Amino acid sequence: MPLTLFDRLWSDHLIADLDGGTGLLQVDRHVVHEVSSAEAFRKLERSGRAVASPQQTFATQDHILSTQVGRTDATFPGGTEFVRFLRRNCDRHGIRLYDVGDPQQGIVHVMAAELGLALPGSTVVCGDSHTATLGAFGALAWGVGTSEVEHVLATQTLAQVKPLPLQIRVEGRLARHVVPKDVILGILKHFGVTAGVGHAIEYRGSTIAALPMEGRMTICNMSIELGARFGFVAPDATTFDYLHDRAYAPRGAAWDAALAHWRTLRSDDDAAFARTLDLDVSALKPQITWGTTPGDVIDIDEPVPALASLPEHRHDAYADAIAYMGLTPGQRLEGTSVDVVFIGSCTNSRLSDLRAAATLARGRTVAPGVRALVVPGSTAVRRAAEREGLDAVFRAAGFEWREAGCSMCLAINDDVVPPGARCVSTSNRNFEGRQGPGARTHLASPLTAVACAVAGRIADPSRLG
Amino acid sequence: MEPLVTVTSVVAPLLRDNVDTDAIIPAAYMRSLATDPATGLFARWRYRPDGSPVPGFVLNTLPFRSAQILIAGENFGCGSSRENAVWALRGFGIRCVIARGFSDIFRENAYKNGLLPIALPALRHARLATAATRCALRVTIDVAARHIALPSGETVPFDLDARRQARLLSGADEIAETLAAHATIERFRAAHAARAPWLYAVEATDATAHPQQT
Repeated sequence: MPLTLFDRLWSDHLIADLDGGTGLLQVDRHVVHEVSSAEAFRKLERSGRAVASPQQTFATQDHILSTQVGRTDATFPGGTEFVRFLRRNCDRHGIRLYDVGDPQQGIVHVMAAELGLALPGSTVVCGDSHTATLGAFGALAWGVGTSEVEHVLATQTLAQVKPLPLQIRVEGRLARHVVPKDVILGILKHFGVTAGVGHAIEYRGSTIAALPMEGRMTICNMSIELGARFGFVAPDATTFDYLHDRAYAPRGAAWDAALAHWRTLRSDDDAAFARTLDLDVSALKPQITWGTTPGDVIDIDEPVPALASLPEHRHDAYADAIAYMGLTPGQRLEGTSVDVVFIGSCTNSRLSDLRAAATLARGRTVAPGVRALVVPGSTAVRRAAEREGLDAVFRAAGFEWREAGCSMCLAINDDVVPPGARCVSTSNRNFEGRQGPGARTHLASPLTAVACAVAGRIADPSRLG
Repeated sequence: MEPLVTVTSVVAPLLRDNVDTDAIIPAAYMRSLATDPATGLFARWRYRPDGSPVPGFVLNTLPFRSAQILIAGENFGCGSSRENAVWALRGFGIRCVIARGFSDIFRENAYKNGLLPIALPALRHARLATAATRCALRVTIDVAARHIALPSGETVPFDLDARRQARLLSGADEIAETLAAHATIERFRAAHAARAPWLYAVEATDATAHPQQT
């Protein structure tokens, strides 16, 4: 029977079929951060259980840890107990921790990729909904809650309802100034925020195949915004090149054996998907959100949609979103003044994102009155960017240059957008209050973010030349 | 986990779509291990910036202040995987959320904490939503029977697989059950390690030496 890649990954990790369409799955890599793991460790110890497989468990500090330069555990007082509790838990249970100050510390999904923790054909879980980022390697990677973190700590397995396979085929060459973030925002615009609920998404097509690993990660990252826990890309030469010589990638004969297996990891040509979505991106423009769900996306030069253009069941939510965002129906977003620009998060904080942003920022200046931050996704990204002089470009232009972490994505640490302020952000969620109470978020690419920072208004990066 | 057999309560209508977990509990209420998650439940809708209650918000009004059942719209619990969202609902006293649909992670987190997520098809959902909005609708949810009993005596069936139903009724510890399958798991791991030894021989080489690639 022809199989999808998802079927292969699932059956390769299936320990037992349980009732209700649920499988008990083997977990190959468990990545842990300071916030969602805390209660899991507490409960684990209260029940007198041990960590089943500490050598398959990896930890770092990212969510609540401050990204201020020169930070310590105590820079953001609210985070101190989480940071120290994770350190103590890793110490007690023999888990490798990439701690504050470690050259490999970073946002879970960014550092895990750099270390080669997510291998093709592996299963990876983390107590963070954006774990599908690592599906870019042809891994089955998904986000879990704290009870599931505890279950994985205790058993190195997880019971999971089997989702249906969904393929999203993306075709076409991207225009200049149009980047992977625009592709995933375009997918959200066309198919909506529930398209992936109950599904595992395989991203395919010529556009995806042409992308380097970091672009694939940006796309897989926002699978959860489509409602899907799982999103992945079949591994190919691009994947293997990236992984070769990574810290936790196999070497020598083990590499050869792994590679032979990895080359078999693809969907059969005649495999049946429960659903297929097609998108041609050859005419795609830079994308930006106007509202308060990640599906509220328009071309950057389009007006905010009018009420009449939306289906009736959206009308109440539309009025709330327009009011919250301080917009008027039909107005053009371009030209609307901006207070904050955030370049960072597990969606867009890798070296290629910073290189692209720096290309536009070079020789330009952040507009007066705009606070603009660049927050690298990992300490390794930060150091690599500094070796290339990108930090100097950003600083000269008036951007803050930060330590690695989640920063302004989620308003849990000391980086919060003030009430009523308008922020163009390269992160993944524009929910009400996501970046702080009353904060107004517009999701966009790093290029659009730089264009907005420089203009002090929402601006199209393709007009910057 | 506290078992859930039946719950009888007024149904609080919160008929919005895409109620995300940042709305259910803002991150600001996750900054201490000592914070009671229930204090952050729907904080931005429930409280004014000065901390006083928003009078019109459903859970601030009688008789919904003690509601154990909530009815919402589509895609409830989307966004962040934070289990604090479920802890906040449970801490407030909610045992069941009825919606058009749920995010996959929220649904799983809910079951793990004895909170029953009931997804209803459009017509059945609309009837209940209308009734709950019109007056204080009191219903009984029966997990064993897999139905919602209305005051009229009529019952509305809902889907719930046998495995989750049994766990809700018993409150059994899922981790203990998995650990009891130790032999099966070890057998699997031995076979898996033979097929894919690189996933088990975990040893890092010098990570910092690697040049950055994109």
